[in-house]
Amino acid sequence: MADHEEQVTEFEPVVEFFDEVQPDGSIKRKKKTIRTKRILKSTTVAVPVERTTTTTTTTTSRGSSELSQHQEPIESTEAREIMEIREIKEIKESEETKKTEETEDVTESQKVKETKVVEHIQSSEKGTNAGSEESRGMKRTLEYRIFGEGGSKDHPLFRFLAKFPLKQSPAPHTRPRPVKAILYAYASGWKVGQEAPTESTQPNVGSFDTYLKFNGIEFELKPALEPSMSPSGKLPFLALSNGSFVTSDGFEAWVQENKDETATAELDLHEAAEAVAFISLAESKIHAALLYTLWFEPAHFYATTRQHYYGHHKWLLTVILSYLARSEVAHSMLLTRTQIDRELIFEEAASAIEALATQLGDMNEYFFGKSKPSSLDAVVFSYLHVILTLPRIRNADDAGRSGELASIVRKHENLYKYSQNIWKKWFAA
Amino acid sequence: MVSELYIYGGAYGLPSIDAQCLAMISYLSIVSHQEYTIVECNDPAVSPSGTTTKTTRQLPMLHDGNNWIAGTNRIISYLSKTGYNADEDLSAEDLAKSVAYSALADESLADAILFSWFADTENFFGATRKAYSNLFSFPSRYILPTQMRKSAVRRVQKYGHSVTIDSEKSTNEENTRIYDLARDCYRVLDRKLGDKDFFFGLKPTSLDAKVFAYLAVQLYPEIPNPQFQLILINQFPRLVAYCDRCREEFFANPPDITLPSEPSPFFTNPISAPREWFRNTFFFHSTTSSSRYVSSGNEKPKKTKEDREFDLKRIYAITFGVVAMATYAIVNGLVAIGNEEEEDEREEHKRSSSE
Repeated sequence: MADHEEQVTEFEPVVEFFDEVQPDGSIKRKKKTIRTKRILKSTTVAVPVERTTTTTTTTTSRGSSELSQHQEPIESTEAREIMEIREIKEIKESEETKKTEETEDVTESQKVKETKVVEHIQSSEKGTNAGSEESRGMKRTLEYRIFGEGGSKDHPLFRFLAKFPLKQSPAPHTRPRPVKAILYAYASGWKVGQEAPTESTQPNVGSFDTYLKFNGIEFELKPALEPSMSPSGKLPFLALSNGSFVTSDGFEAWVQENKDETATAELDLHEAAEAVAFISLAESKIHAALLYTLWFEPAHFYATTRQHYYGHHKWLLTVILSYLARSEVAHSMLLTRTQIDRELIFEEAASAIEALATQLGDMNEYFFGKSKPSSLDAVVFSYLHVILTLPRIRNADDAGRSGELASIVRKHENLYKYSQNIWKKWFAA
Repeated sequence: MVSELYIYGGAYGLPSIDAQCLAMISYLSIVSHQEYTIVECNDPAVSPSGTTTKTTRQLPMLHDGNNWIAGTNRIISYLSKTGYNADEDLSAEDLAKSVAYSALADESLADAILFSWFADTENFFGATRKAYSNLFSFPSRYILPTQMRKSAVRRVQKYGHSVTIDSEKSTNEENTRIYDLARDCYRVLDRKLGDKDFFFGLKPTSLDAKVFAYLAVQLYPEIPNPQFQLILINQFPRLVAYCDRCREEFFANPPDITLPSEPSPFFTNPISAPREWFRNTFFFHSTTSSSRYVSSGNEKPKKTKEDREFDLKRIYAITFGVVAMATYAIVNGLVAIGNEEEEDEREEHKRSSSE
């Protein structure tokens, strides 16, 4: 007891049971709950007090034996504390005392009574706290009902289960922590099975790795085909050497923290504003046209898109998953437009591409006439590159529809050159 | 040009509740003063594109001569082809910038409005639902606002997981992303505007029409939870001044609000003109060939082919249904053909013979 008194912080209640043979032959079971707690609303305000309540119940079959609420004190300190507790209980809630009286009458269900006592000791202590504490109490009650007295730890079942696993061998195969960041992305290029050098095929993935390269961040690109392997459920994601992951939400912020300051172009306020506008242009208009080309041009969908995204599955899964994915794309497109109108989508994409061509100018290597790429370059290049490297479909039904977006880009000589230059400079090596 | 613009009706002291419609009104007031009339039709389902393809329900819609054009971007490109171009003075670079900024407005500003009006529970039940249900007629009044909310919430869900249609509590604390996004967008526009009267100098352009429309529906309505308004007023006073200026400029002489000039095939209702309505609803394709809409010229033959297939399928389905019903009736003896009299006769015969 003495060492308990010195503790100030709150800790799990320790419940002890011990039987004691009374002079009249009956056996009294004593229950002692020891709990250290800081009490706020009482005469002993903010004084760390160790509480000890001793409730006794009888296990004898002789019903005449009355419960004595408190046994004769084992130690004098204990008695003092019991007095304190009783005072506090009376101050706090009358219901508490009522329940305690209930315990004094012996009823048929002894265990339930004890549960209540346990519960009420807890609730009286934590009455000011809200639901989480209550739910903890509930949990404890449940635990009690399952495991019986003394909580879960003492129950034979628990002790039995705690032995498992019997032996713990070291993991045969731990995944080595990456030395540098790894970008998992749809990255196997357009032809299925094509080996490195890889290029991302999904536009926003493309902008990821392009953006990383432009910012001078070293990373390794690993092809992945299963979006659910990412913590956010979406590819791409970045696995860092410290074991954490960066998904699309925190990507921008992470790059800003880790980038090589000299790698990218400095944009002044107006240029930054314009970059935001043009990125938004590419991500809405060109993105829609690209999605349409990939998923809704039948020639393209059957020949390449389906194979690329789901070709690694069995053929039946490939068919089912690709149709599911297509309907998902359709839904996502319909969020921002009332119908998927091919003509309008391509008209807008053409005007967007024209706007980009005008903004780029004829002679510039990068946007805004800089000598280094900026975030706008990353986005625009990845879209242009994906569009220009789409495999060409030659068949009669298609009649050039699947290549329309690429031909729109090719009309603008400077955009075509721009894309070629960046590819050669940053990726082809 | 005497054309008609079909829009959602006004609310909150603005000519129209819908940003797209407001943009269209602004654009028309830039390019042509008093040469058009406004029809408040309020029901996107009646637009002609809505009757031909099932998914399109779109206002504003322009009726010019024999042409019906739906959708802001389509109308603007149609008008600029027919000589009402607000952007003709712009250089190529400015035009490119205009395209980019209007894309930004279409994305971010539109999302901000959808979030503020629909995803924010307090605003939706406190203001938006009421405003919209004042516009609609009886049955759709109780259905459409909720439907609009559903689609709006689906669109803005990408900004936070706590944006759901069922969330009762206010969504302000958890969804800082949309406010950051809106703030970024306002900042970009604010920088672009600078100290100029309009985005590209002294004359308003199509970009002004759009941006003003989106800002106006964010700024002027009185709503219970005006987070975006506070952002605008406290941090971007220049944009607020710009909005006031544009409001003066564009809505100074509002055009007349009229009824449709010709009894449009799309605007008949079953009570006032039951015969017309019946004909238009069930024999739509034969009566409206004269005033076909032009949104996509080369898709027309394809559409009619699809329609023909659809009609054929409908006939098949109806025939099948009737035959199946008749078969069921006969098999189960609900209807007996021809045998009844004979049986009666037989019974009578039996009876008479037994007697």
